[in-house]
Amino acid sequence: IGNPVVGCGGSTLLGYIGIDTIIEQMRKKTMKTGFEFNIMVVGHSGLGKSTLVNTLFKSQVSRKSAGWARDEKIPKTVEIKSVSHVIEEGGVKMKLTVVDTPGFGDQINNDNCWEPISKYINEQFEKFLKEEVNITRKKRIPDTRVHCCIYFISPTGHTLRQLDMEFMKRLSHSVNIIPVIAKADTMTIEERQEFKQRVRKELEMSGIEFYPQKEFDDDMEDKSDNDKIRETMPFAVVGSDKEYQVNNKRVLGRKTAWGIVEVENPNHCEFAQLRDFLIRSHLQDLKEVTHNIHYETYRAKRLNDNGGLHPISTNGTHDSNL
Amino acid sequence: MSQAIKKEPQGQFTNPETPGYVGFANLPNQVHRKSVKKGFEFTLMVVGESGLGKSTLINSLFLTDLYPERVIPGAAEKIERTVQIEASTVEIEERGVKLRLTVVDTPGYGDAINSQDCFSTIISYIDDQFERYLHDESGLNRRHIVDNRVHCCFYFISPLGHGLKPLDVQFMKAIHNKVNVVPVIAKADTLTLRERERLKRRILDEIEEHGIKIYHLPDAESDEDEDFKEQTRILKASIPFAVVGSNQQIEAKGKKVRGRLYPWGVVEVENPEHNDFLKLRTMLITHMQDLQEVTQDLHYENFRSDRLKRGGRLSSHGYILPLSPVKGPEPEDKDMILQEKEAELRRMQEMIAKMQAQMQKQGDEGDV
Repeated sequence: IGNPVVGCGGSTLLGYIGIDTIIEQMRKKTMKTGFEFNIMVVGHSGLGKSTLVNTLFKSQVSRKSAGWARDEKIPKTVEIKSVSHVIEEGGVKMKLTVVDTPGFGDQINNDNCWEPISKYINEQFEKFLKEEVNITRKKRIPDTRVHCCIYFISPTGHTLRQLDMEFMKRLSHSVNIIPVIAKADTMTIEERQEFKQRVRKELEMSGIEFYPQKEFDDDMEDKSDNDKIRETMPFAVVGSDKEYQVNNKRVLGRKTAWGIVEVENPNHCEFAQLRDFLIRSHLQDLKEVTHNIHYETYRAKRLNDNGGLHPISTNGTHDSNL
Repeated sequence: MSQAIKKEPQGQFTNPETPGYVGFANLPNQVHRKSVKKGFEFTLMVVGESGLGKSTLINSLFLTDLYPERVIPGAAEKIERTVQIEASTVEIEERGVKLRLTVVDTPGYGDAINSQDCFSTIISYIDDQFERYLHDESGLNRRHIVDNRVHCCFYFISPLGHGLKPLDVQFMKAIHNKVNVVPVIAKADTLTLRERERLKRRILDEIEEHGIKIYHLPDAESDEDEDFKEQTRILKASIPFAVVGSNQQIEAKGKKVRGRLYPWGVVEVENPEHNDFLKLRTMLITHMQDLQEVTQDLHYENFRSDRLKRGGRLSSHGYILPLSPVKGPEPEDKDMILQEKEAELRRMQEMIAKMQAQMQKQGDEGDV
C-alpha cells in the first residue's frame, strides 16, 4: 500500500516521474470523503431481508436493528423505509443506506405493488438531476440513488412466481437487480441447482437482465469474470446474526436439531460469494452502472419528454414540471 | 354369538359364564368386521401456495406416489390459470383393511398476483359435494351412496412468514364452517426449534384473534389407557403440526431413513425431534373416523339445514330447488313459514307416493 514504484524502466520514460502516485492520491481523497452506497431490498415478508443485510455488513444496519419486535404487523400498502448508517473499515468510511420495502407482495391483491418502489427510484434520480442542472451546484451532489436492488426469491423449489417476473421485468431497466434465493437452507443441494437452472431459464426467456448485465461488460476480462458470476446466480443465501462454535471456530450460523448451517461456509450456501461479489469486487461498478447507464437513461428521457429541463435559478423557480 | 374373539370387549358382561351375559357386547366387533369388509372412504383436501411441499407430504403420508406424471408449470404459463380442482383417488390396503383415499389438490391457489377470488372454486367444490350427498340422501336408491364430501382440509402455512398471511386468514374463515381445517406448517426444516415454537404460538394467537375454527381433537375418554391419553395430550399440544415430507431413502447413522440430505446434516422425516410428521400421521389415522363424523354431524348438517331453510321443493330428481332466487333472509311471518313447510311436506309426500307406485311397477326388475 502506497509503495512508490521505483524505476518503472519503460522504454519511453527516461526516469521515474511519479504518475502512478495518482492512484494513491485518489485513494487518499476517497478515504477522506468517504463513500455512499444505497442498497434496496425487495421481497415479501419473512424472507430474511433484514437479517441478510445485517449479515452482509456485519452490523445492525437494517430497518430491523438489534432488538426489533418480530411481531410487526404487515402494512396494508407498500412502504419505503430507508435507514442510514456510517460504517468504517480500514480507515474507509461508508455511508450505507438500506432501503426496505415492507408490504411488498404480502397482500391478497398485489396488483401494481411495484409502483411505490418504481416511484421511489425515479424520485432519487429526479433529485440528483435537479441538483446537476442547478446553476450553482453543490460541490458533491448527495447521492441517494439506488445503486443496487436485491430481490429475494422465495425458495419454493418450483419456479419463479408471477410477481417476481413482473417486478424484475419492470425494474431491471431502472436499477441493478441482484436476485437471490432466500432462506436457501430449505433446499438440498440438488434441489437448489435445479431451481437455479429453472429460474435462470425463465429469466432468459422473458428477456430479464439482472446485474451484471451482459451488455455492459467492458472487456474480455470483465466478460469472463462476469460470466462465471452469472452462471452461479441467483445466489442461494442464508443469513444469521447468531454465532456458534464449530470446530473450535466461532461461526455465524443457524442451529437445528440435525446440524449447524454455517452462513460463510461455501459448501453450505453462497452467502460468501454474494458478499464478495457485492462488496469486495463490484461495489464501485454497481455505482458506475447506476450513474452511467440507469441515471443517464432517466435523464435522457426527462430531457426529451419536456423539451429540455431548465436550470433552477438560485431563488428556486423552476420551469417545466412532469 | 361368535366365541372366537381375540379382542376383549370391555364392560361387565365379558364372561359368557356370567349370569346375565347376553352377548351384545360383541356388537362393536361385528361393526368392526362389517366396516373392514365394506372399506373406508376418506377425502382429504390440500390447500396451499405452490412450492410448499404439499404433494411430497401427501406421498410421504401414504407411502405412495399420487402424482406420477406431474409437470410443474413455469411462471409464464401460470399467468392465465385460475385455481383448479384435481382429485386423485387411490386404494390403499393394509392388513385387510381397505381405504379408498381421495386427495383433492388445488393447484393455482395463491399463485396469482391478485389472489382476491382464488378460493371461490374451492368453496364451490366443497358445496357441490354436500349438494350431491344431499341429493343422494334424499333420493330413491340409497344403497350405494358414495361419500365424496371433503372430510378434512390440510391448510399449508408457509414457514417463511412471521405468522398467518392475509390470504390464510381469509381462506380459513371462508371454509371453517364447511370442512375440518387442520393447519400445517410446511417445510419445517427451514426453522430452528425456537423459530418453530415462536411461529406456532404466533399462528395460534392469530387463529384465536380472527375467530378461526380449526379442527379440535376430541379429548381422550376417561376409560382409555394412560398411553392413549398421553398421546392425545401431546398431539393437542403440538398443533399446528410443523412437518417435513420426503420419500427419499438416506443413509444416516448406519440405517436407511426417509429424509432430506443437506451438507450440514440429515433431516429425518420420521424423527419426532426433527419434525411433527409422525404426529400428523397419527392424528390423521387415529381420528379418521372422527373427522368423518364431524363432517357428517356438523358441517354437512349445517349445509343441509341451510339449504332446506332456503326453501324449495323436491324436483323429480330429488334436487331441492329454491323457491325464489337467492333472496336469503327469512320471512318475518312465522305462520307463513309454517304454511310453507306444510305445503312442502305435502308435496314431498305426494312425490314419495308417486315413487312408491313406480317402484311397485318395476317390482321384479331387481336392484339397479
